[in-house]
Amino acid sequence: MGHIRLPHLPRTKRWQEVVDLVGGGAGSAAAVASATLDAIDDSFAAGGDDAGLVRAVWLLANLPDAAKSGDFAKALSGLGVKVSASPTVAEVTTAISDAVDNYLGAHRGRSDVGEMALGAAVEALSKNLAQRTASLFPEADDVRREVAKLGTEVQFGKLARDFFARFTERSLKYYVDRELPRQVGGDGRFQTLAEQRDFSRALELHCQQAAKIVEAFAGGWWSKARFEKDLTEERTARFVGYALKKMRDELRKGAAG
Amino acid sequence: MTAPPTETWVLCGGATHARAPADALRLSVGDTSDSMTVGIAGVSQALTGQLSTRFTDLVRIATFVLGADGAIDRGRLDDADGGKKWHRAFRLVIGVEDPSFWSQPDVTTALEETLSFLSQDTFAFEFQTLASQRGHKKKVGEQLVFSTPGGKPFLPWDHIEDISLFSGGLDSFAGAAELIFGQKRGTILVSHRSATKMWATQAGLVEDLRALAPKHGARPPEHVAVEVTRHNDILRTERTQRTRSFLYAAIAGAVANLVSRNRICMYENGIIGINLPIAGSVVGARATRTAHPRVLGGFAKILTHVAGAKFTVENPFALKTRAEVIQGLSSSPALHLAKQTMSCAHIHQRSQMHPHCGVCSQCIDRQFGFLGADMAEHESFEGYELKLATDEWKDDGARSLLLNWIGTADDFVSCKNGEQFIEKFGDAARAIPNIMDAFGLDADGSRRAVFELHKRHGDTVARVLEAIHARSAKDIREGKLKPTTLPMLLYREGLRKQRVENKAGQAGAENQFRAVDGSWHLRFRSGQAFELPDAKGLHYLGLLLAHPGEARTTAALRALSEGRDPAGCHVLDADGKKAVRERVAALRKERDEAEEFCDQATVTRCQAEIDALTPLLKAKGADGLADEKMARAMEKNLREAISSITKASKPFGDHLKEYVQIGSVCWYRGPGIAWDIALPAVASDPAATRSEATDGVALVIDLPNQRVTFRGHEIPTTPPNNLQPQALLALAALAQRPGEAVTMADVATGIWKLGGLAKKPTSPDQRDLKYKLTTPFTKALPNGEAKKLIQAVRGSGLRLNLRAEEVQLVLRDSGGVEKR
Repeated sequence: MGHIRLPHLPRTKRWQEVVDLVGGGAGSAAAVASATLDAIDDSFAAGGDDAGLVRAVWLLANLPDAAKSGDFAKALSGLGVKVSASPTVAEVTTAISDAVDNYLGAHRGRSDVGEMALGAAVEALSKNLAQRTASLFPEADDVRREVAKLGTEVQFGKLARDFFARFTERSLKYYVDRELPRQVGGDGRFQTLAEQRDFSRALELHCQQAAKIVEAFAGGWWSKARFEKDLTEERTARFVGYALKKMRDELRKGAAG
Repeated sequence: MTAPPTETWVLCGGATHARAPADALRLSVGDTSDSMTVGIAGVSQALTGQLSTRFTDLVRIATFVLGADGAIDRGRLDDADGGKKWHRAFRLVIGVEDPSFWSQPDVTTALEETLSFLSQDTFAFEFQTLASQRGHKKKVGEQLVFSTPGGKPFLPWDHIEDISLFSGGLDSFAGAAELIFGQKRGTILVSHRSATKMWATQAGLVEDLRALAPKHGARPPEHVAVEVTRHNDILRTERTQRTRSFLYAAIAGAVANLVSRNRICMYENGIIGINLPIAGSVVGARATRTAHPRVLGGFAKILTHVAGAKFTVENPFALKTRAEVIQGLSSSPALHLAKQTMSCAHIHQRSQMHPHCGVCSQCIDRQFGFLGADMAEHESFEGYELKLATDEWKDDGARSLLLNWIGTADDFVSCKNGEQFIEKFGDAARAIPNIMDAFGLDADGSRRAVFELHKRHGDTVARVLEAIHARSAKDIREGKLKPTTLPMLLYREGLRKQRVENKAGQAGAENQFRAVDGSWHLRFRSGQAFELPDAKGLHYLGLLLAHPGEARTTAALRALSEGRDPAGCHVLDADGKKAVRERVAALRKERDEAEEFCDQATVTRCQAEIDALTPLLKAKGADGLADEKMARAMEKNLREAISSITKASKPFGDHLKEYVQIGSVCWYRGPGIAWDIALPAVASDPAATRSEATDGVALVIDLPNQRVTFRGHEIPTTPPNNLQPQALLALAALAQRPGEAVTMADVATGIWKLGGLAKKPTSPDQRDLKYKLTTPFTKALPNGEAKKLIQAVRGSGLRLNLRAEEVQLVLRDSGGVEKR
């Protein structure tokens, strides 16, 4: 039990650039991100077709309206999310995770993209709610109120940015992490584990920066879709595809100046 | 939406299906003439008849699932297909004795969801009545072989209170010891009899426990061994076997049912049970989920359906670290047996001298566990082929695993509370619901418990590493340790070894295109920098990269490269117009898509580029027509330059091939990459240099060349932060009457005449126009020089606050305008 299967990068030409950038010593996090996206062709941007990814974003997009309805728990139940009458942050994030898992388990097909999306959604939601609900004397309705407050263009934009930053980071590390630790020690780029982890953090920051591009329009999209009463999974899938395309283009720019 | 992977049809136990393809996998379980045999030793044949139909079916189903799991390849470790091969889809049609029960939606859903999470495959089940097995010697109910080791009857089972899975590993051993000696419970241990080596360990440990028990007032445990044999090679295609634990749980459940118990135990420390990914590349079930709380909950749900009463699958160690499990053995009479347990994932390659490889995740966790529990004397560290603290971790894969493992433990420590923990490890949320059920906690309590478990584990790892460091500090300082030993991988204080020069080793911008002393210094995406001799094509490329998005005719490009004014060089031939039209069409499509998603920044960018390109299609005149010979020569120069670059750096060359348009009109559709560009002095690109104000002139507006300078500062007329074409004309209109308030109607007239437009535009909105005029100036002169350059005069319009002698307005002689 407890076995871990650790993959590594193929030694094909297009991945060799990534390996060279990581191992050669001068490739910044931004350059490595850009090269990785080139190596995986269009599969990153095609993530908008993934059932798990779309479901995760759709749930995040519909949460605020559920909180604004007369009965939060009932509205969430309609989305497949089971919580108590006055749920805590832990309960909401756990229930979101469960909802996506159950959705995928019922023949929608598991995928690595879906797994990464689920984790990113839980993390983004947890972060955005935790910041808002940190209180010495929490009240039963605090979480519902704060979820409702995510329902503005600005706030949804921030949530979307956080989600896409984390999802993109996971997507890049899905490949890059196969090479980074191999470069620690000996002739490798990183002399110590700490140096390798600094690089990982730089990659994380780069994704957060790049995700600003999504924040710029996500709120507008969400508001328009709500206004047109069309916050469906189909429409969400198109939004996800577009957002990933913008992230990819932004990351391909490399480091900013 | 992406469709799930192609389904593999699996027809089991003689089942048939009209839609099944001819090459469907067919499985049967029984004797050696079948695909698989499941042998269960240790239970009396006399009990066979008491095994319920549903439990018999359950074991049958679990066996077929394992068979299918082994038949379909999951790909290689170096696959970069996004996991396409890893995720499979199965449609199992299974002959069972009670199909109406198994076909109930709740039951089928419990099976499908649990197995889907366990193995990350998609499962669909259909059940049929078990067909009569013609030609088989055994009856259906006897296909699951129950026998005692020596044919002896099983002992009475009234004393049995617990059924526990027993792998022979450390955690299951500690659990068994706790049940037998700690709680004095009558126990059946259920083992998978796989490799001979492992079986020897399991059987040996059970024998030792049985011998020890009476000496300590405990009941000797019973032992049931499950052996699954595949008689068809195709079932050995895939070795990961993530669904194996479902079969063990099914058999343990069947055994429990035989002795009228509704509970089984599966002992695994919480860190391994939840098994959070230690690296971004470890997604989903690449980290096994055998004892994941969600899986145990799923097994419990299935067993509850089958038993017809509440059935639990428990892991009492779910909130303990490995070190804590080991510490729990400290007062056990069985402690001395702990070193005989076997945790290694690579059991088949082990020897008696080295029963543990030392490099798999279980071995790493085990070494840290004993050291962290301060019970190293109870472990045989010499039995590890690679020892954690002292040996060299030369193998890249092994070193990666170790460092990822340590790094993740460190990340646990960095979290201050449950919220931060879930913000960093969202996957942990999946364990929370079942931890809530198992330990009677609410969601917050469960989250806190899971966080604290991981924090304690991280603290233990940190403590062990500090101790290793303390012991190694002197050797590190004296340079005695090899670079890939653990102390050196973590710490490099004192006398550092000479750092290996990195192969690229250049400072400077990531993307360079610099003319230096007659040659070109180039670099792309912080790869290896290289030098190329001077060539015209590189010159042209440099000019294009310096102005991304600006389309230039070949004549204009050549003029710029020679330091000449490109005015009059903007007329396109047919090919050029075609290229521009295609680009404009692509931009319109991009703009319209951006509109759908309210991406205003992209809409604005696209529109600006459309506005810049469209006039090229309208430009007329014979004197600027591209010289075809010159155009072909320039094309050749550019392609040769790109070819030279590709030879030195394929990624660079590929980038240029994708983003540089070559033809009678050329441009670089840069994706926003920042370039460090230095062109040769002769390429005095007017837009790249600051022009000097002459004789008191502050503002120069050069309409034919679309240039504006203010007090020597270039005001951009191309993105970003630029004066848009209409705004430029409006500025020129104001410049015709400096110091005067000009109404918007007059501005519209000015735009019309100066722009040579076919129709007079509507009067612009004053406020909007002021914004569009002043923003480029304030961006270019952030020191506030241009703050009051353009002023709104209430009721009168906008005023350019300059004297006439301070303004220079350049128009064509005809008074018309030539736009870029």
